[in-house]
Amino acid sequence: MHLDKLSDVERVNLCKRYFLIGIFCLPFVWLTNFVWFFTEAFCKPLTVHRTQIRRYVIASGIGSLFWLVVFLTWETVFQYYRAQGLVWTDYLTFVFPKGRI
Amino acid sequence: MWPFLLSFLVFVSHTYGISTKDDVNIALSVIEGTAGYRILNGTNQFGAHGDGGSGDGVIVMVNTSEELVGGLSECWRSRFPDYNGKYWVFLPMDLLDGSVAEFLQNSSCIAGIVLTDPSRPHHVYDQSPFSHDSSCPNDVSSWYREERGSCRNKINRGAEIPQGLRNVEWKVLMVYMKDPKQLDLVKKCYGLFNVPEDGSTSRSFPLCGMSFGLFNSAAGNSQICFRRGLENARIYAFNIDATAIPLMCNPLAGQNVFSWPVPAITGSKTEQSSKYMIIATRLDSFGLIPDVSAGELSVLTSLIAVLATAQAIGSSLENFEAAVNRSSRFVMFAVFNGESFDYIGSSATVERMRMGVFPLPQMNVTHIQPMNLSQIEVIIEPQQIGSTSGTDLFTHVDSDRYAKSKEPLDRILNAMRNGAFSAGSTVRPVKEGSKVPPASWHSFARGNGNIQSIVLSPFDDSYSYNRYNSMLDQNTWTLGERTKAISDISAAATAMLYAAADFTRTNVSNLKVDDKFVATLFDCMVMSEDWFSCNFLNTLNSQRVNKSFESYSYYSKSTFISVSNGNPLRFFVYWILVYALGTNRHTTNVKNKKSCMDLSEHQAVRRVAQDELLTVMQGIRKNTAQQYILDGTGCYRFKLNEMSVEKHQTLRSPPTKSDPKFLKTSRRTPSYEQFIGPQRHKNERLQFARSNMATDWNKIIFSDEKKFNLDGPDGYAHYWRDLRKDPMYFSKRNFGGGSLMVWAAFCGNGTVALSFIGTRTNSQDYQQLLAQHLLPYLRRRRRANMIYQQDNASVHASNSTLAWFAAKNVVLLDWPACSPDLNPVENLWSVLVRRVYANAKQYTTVNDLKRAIRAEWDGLDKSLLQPLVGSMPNRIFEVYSYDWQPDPWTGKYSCYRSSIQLVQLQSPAFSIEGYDFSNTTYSTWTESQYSIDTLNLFLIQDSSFDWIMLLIGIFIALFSFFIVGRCHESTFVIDEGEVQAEEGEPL
Repeated sequence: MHLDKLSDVERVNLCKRYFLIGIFCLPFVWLTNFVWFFTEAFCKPLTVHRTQIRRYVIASGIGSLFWLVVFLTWETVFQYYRAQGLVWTDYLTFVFPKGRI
Repeated sequence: MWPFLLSFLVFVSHTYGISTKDDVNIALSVIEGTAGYRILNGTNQFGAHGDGGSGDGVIVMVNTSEELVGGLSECWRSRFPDYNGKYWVFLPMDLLDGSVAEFLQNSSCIAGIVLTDPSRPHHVYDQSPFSHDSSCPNDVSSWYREERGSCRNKINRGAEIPQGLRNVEWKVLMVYMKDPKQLDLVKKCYGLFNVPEDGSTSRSFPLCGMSFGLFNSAAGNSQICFRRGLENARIYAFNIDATAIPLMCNPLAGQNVFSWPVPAITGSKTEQSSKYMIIATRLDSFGLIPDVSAGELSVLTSLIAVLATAQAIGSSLENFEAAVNRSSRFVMFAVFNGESFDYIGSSATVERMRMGVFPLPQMNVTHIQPMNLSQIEVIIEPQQIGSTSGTDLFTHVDSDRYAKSKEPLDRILNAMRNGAFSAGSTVRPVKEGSKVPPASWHSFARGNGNIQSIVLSPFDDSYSYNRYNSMLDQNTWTLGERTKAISDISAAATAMLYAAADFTRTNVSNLKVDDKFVATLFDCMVMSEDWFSCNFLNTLNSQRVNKSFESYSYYSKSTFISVSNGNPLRFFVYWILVYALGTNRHTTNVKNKKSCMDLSEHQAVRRVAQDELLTVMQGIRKNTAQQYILDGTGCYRFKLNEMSVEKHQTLRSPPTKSDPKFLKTSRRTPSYEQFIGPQRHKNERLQFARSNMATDWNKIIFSDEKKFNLDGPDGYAHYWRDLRKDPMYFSKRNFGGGSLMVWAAFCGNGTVALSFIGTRTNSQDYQQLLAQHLLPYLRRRRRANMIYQQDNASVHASNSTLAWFAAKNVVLLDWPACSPDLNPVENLWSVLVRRVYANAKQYTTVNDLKRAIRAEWDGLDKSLLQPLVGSMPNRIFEVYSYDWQPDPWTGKYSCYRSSIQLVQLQSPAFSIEGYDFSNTTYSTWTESQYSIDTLNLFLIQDSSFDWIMLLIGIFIALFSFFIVGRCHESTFVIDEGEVQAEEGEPL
């Protein structure tokens, strides 16, 4: 689907829909939203619709960043403790490594 | 262009000396047990573990420690200047001493070590320090608090490194290569390719290298590894197979033998006042590579002394019996297993005694009285007999306890002195402030404050034998040394014999240790290379146990406890004790194996009686004040095909009202011996006895569960010891290609039922299964009073299942004692497996497998099943066990009656729910599961050859793209039609 072939309103609606879907803990949807509508939002002259799109794009971007930070933090913490062989980390592990902790 | 390229290629291959004639590619099989693997305890992991990555290395053989240290420090760079990888070092095992061990640990250029037989023969008085144990073997499990954790009392001065070579986490692999043929192959390859030629000091490619891999599953420590194997270890188990989570480590557990020359029987007047003396020894030792441990002085000499004492008592059993019955003072022989791993056997025994279930729980039949810790007065243990050139023996007692109660111990010490004197040795008096060296007594000391100890040994303050618990505990014996050792053993045996006689108030005048017996056992066990080379043991064995090349502990002498299927020494000890302490006087007209097995004091049939239930419950509750879980009298049989999680979770709460399995009444059938009357009635009585008891085993319905895979039986997967083939621990299909859990039941009269169950069943599923398959069968044969047998899996023994059994009036078979022979169900499985997978058949769908299994099952008939049932030895013993075995001197079979129990014990740490593994009260040693690759010899080429060839290949590819890319499209179109048509050619 080419964004150029859609009308302004449809574009706004699409961006908005992606944003709303991404609220349900779907950071990749936000990321897609951000990437796809980036040129649309920031590299073209401003109009009323583009302002809205810009807003959604920025929100999606911030959202993805937030998720990225959360994932990285969790991964670091989890792997750090998992290497020590703690009980709660084992409880959250699907497949135990063999031959090492 | 092309000729240039071709000539370049020819030039390159010449330079690198490639030729197909020159290739070495030899695969050597590594027998299970000859490679070092990982063992773990409560807090650490130890043992050999390669990185898992490349186990490749160039072979280097060293014979002196200078060579080794010199080579290590420069990674053999001067000899192999072009090579950058790792090495496999071949060295004789007596080169691996403390300093070398440190070097090896810190070196980063070794892939692995291959140990070969010692460079020179070792004799018994050799003082070189090669013990692989630590200098304070008891710093975890000692009764003396000040010894724990601090190692102030260095008793093992022969230890190579203070913490013990066993307790090191090696980053390299280790293999013990003993086969001279294999060594010759390696030497040949080495000589051809790795030795610098005359005139030069270095050698370049190709080099002789080898690869070997041993991959351990477990890591961290016992707690982590064990916990991960439990079913509730994770939120969700990602297992497409839907099998039980495989355990990655297994607790060390071994068979212990207990024997009573005269058993204390319930209901007799000796019931409450009996006192015990335990004559104990151990069955296990270890080495750096755990299985390679001949244990000559660590185990065998003391073991022979104890067996000689037993035989001496057995040879005048009537006097002994009379004295014991008069005085109510009994003797028990205990051969513990696992003592070198923080007292596994003895601590488990003490646990059982505390719960009142040793050797059997209180039952409402005549049986051996359960032993109580307070009944034990003294434990006598011989250690390292024969390790000094003198004839002095020292007695070690615990001075505090000795001071509290001098007289009884003095009597025994006096008797020991007399005994040793009569055999030519002297027993030195007890020293001031004497402490007990590492011995099984320490477990008992924790259990009760009054149990005394006498450790009889030729060493005084510290060990005089410097190869205690070591791979090098194997000696060459001259004739003189042999004679001396035999006389040492006889002296120790006589001392213990006199002590036992004095304790039981027997007259010693007729008691004498049989020197020929000692000499024979010495030749059979200590002098020989394996357990199968001498007549005495072979006759006793009579083909029941075979020398198998699949495992080092059967192929050669090994005394490592391992996990259940350890060395066959335990069988020999059992049979020797049956022969020594058993009698065949009472069974002279038992002419065949079947009748011998039919003999039993009481039947296996039991029914529930509510009031007895309550009595026993109260008794057990009194004994189990803590929240320990009663594990009953069951054996932990670690079946090879099912290192099942359930074994560790046999967490049964104390029996409740609905627990028929635990408590029984008996039908009071008089013993066969009481029927012995005048000769002419004997036969009639025999008939009567037989008709009442003969059909017992046919009334038992045996049941078991087994997992079948599409690709092959699951009998080998879990323990991962694949030996001669390429690593095939994963079949070609993911996750073994699907599997099927089969439950089957059969009895002597035919098959009962077969059903396919899910791999994770709970009690309800099991009950439903039984309702569907077992109950109809029982209903049809209501009058036959059949008994159902099942193993101690948690689902089978859960409260709801036991209640269900009671409600449906199903009688369960009590299964208290282990026997060295196989369970008939396992025989049946092997038959079925052979038929289902005949001709290496693999199945494509589970339904096909189901159909095949059912077809084969239906094809089993009574003629196959009868002998399986008939082979059941008598294992249900309450007072006496009847064994059909040959006299080792003459080979004549007879039915021996003896009071003996062979039981597998594991550390109580694994049966206590929620046990904290960092707690050192009990042994926490486990052994990792591992898989072995074959050892391959091959030629290592210069790796730069690969790079150059790769570059040439890339260059040619690019070149060809470039050339072809410049062509016009039309060059690729081969069609002359249009052109010719345009030119006017007719078609």
